[in-house]
Amino acid sequence: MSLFTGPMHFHLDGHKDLTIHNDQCKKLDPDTVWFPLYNGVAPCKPLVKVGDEVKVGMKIAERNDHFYLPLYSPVSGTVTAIEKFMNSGMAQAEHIRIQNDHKGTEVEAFKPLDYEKATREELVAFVKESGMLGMGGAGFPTYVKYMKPENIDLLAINGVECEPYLTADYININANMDLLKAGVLAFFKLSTAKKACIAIKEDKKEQIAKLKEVFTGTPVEITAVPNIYPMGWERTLVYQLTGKRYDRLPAEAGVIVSNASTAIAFGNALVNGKPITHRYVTCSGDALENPQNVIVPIGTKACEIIDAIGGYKNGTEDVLLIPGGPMMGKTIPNDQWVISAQNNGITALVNRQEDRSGCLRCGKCTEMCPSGLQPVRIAGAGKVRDDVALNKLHVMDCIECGLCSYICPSKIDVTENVRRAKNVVRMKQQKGGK
Amino acid sequence: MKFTFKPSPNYRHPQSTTKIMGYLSVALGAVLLSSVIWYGVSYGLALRVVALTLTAVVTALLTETAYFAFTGSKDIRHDVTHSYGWITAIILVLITKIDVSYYAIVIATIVAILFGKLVFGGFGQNIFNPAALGEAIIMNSFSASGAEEVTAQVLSGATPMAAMGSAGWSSSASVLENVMTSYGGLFGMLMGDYASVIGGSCALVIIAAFFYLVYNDVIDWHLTVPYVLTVFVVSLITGMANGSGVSFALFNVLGGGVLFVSVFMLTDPVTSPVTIPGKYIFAVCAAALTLILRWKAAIPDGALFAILLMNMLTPAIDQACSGSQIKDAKKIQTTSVVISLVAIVIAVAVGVTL
Repeated sequence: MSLFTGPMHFHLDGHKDLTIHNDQCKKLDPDTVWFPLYNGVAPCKPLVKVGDEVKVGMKIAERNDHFYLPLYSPVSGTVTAIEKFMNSGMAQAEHIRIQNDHKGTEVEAFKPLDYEKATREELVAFVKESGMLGMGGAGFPTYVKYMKPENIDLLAINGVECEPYLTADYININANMDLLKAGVLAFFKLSTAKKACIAIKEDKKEQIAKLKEVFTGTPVEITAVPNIYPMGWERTLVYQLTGKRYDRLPAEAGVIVSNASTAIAFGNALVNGKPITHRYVTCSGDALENPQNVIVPIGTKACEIIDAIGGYKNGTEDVLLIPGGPMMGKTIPNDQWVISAQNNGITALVNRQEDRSGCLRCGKCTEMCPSGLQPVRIAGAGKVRDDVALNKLHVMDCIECGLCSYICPSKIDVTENVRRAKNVVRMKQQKGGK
Repeated sequence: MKFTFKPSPNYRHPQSTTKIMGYLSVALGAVLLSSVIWYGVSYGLALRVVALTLTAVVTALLTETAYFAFTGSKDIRHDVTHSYGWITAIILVLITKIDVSYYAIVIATIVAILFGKLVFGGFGQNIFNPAALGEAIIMNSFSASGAEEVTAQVLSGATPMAAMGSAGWSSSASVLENVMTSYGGLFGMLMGDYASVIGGSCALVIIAAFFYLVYNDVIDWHLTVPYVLTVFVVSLITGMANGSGVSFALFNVLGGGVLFVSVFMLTDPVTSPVTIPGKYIFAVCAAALTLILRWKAAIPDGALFAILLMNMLTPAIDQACSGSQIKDAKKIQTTSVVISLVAIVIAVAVGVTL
């Protein structure tokens, strides 16, 4: 922030108190899971067929394009079908339907590894083979960023969780501090960084104190960061921690960022030899009867989770159902999609009419944009499909964090306008054959 | 129960444009109330202020209703309440002199609303500040149409600006002192104990309104503060060069429309630039123009026309400050600083040759 820009962030009411106090999370064990056969938008290949028996920890699918990612069964039981339906990203995608026998029979996915004794190469291979992926939302295979670290100063563990309503990371960290410690220290070794820190929002005072205790005697610092949105976005976080901006990857600023839940999953793999089979999911929002965090196997349907915690609030007629939080999560017109490893929440909000007006050109969107863009001008250039002007406005730097729509007093869908403008640029690029 | 699809994000700040206009109405109401009281106590014209305001507001609402009816609006009530015409009407009254005739205020309001705003496409699309445009019409077309009985009542007639104007804007200490004394000195000007435009005199109320509006996130201080500061600094330098110093600076800040304009008109987001560096350019240039027009042109106060002139340049300023605030930061900042400095230097140059 300077005299010539706005703050480029904003403190928003997180409604976290709805779910932050339930430390005893319900653990669901649904009769059927539909295991997602995709990693982000990349399809994954099933390694089982209908009729096969599977056990917890059995490798049942893998992604094998330019990245490699093994996926392990979250339950034991029988594969009954491979089905295609809409996933949380609103794309038609394949899922392995597994009839859960509720026995939880396990098979050793891989051997635990002592990260202190292991070499860096062994550790990288372990990250890859254990199927670690970014659990903060991206789902990006973790080994990729630790493969060839160069000139890394800082490993930043992202426990910021700036998306409103979500508390899954917070609850997960509280419940699994020892696994977090193992995971973070192993990542630290992998990163070859000089320093490491765990970034937590400053209002989580108790958690910060507990973490400081747990990490005494380690080189890992616990860093309190301001309670603002989008503090948890890599660029904003890296800028907060180092004062540096970068073009494409945080490594350019000498930083590697990993999510806290990813570090916990990594700790679990190292210490217990267990892959990612379950995850914490925050179910919150004013359309739910009992908002709370739950632990569910990957592949649990959203509707089953919502039923299990008491369903929608009585008398709710019109719901906005969102995988993730309301800022970056996109509404889905049904609740039949499943939780994949990077889905950290389900937000159900009562659909209310907004008091819309014309754009009054107040410039709030410009002042708040964490990418430093001018959404009001982008929307103008997008409307006339002027891709040259849009490129000059750096439209592709937009990460669709949603802050411009959030802050707009006229309740214009600013982010959506920018999204359309990005499409204009994409289409022109395709036509140009570039 | 149904699931609705809406583009993300689906989370909104409680502030809305309607609320913003609500706060603005309250602040304008406070200024208006202070005028009603002052004109009531001083000249027994409280009712005239009220009646002028009602006339303007009703005219504005009728104009908009008619416009939306003729253009085939589906929800006239919604369109009128989201066009916020009454704000323009109240501002127009507040920047007009008390002796304005009723028909002049009616015509000015219609021009302001219809040609100042609606024909451009309605709220948010207009280039000129509608109230400023309406007042320009009154000043240029109805200047001699003042209701005589009122003119007679409000004897002195001359505002501080007009008084200095007829003294040739000599910034020599003695002339300035004479003029200021006749308006109760600095304290009198702060309290606004003199007749000027209806809402323009009481600096204290306007300053209070400024804090109220900034606190409630209605106006942007990035416009108000640089504007007032530039007026102050440029006239301070001018004053020092001519031997009257700080009083000349304070006179220029308090004596005319500068404060009212800086809080209620310069800050109109529709007609000012969207970026902060752009707002600096806009405000500093408007301040420089205000003083140059005030000192050199044959109009009593420069603030109004400065705004109208700068309104025309808003798209150009936005273009000059266009880009990424991170990747083009240097270019944008340099543009902002250089243009602002040039404006200040020109204004000072004009000032010292007074």
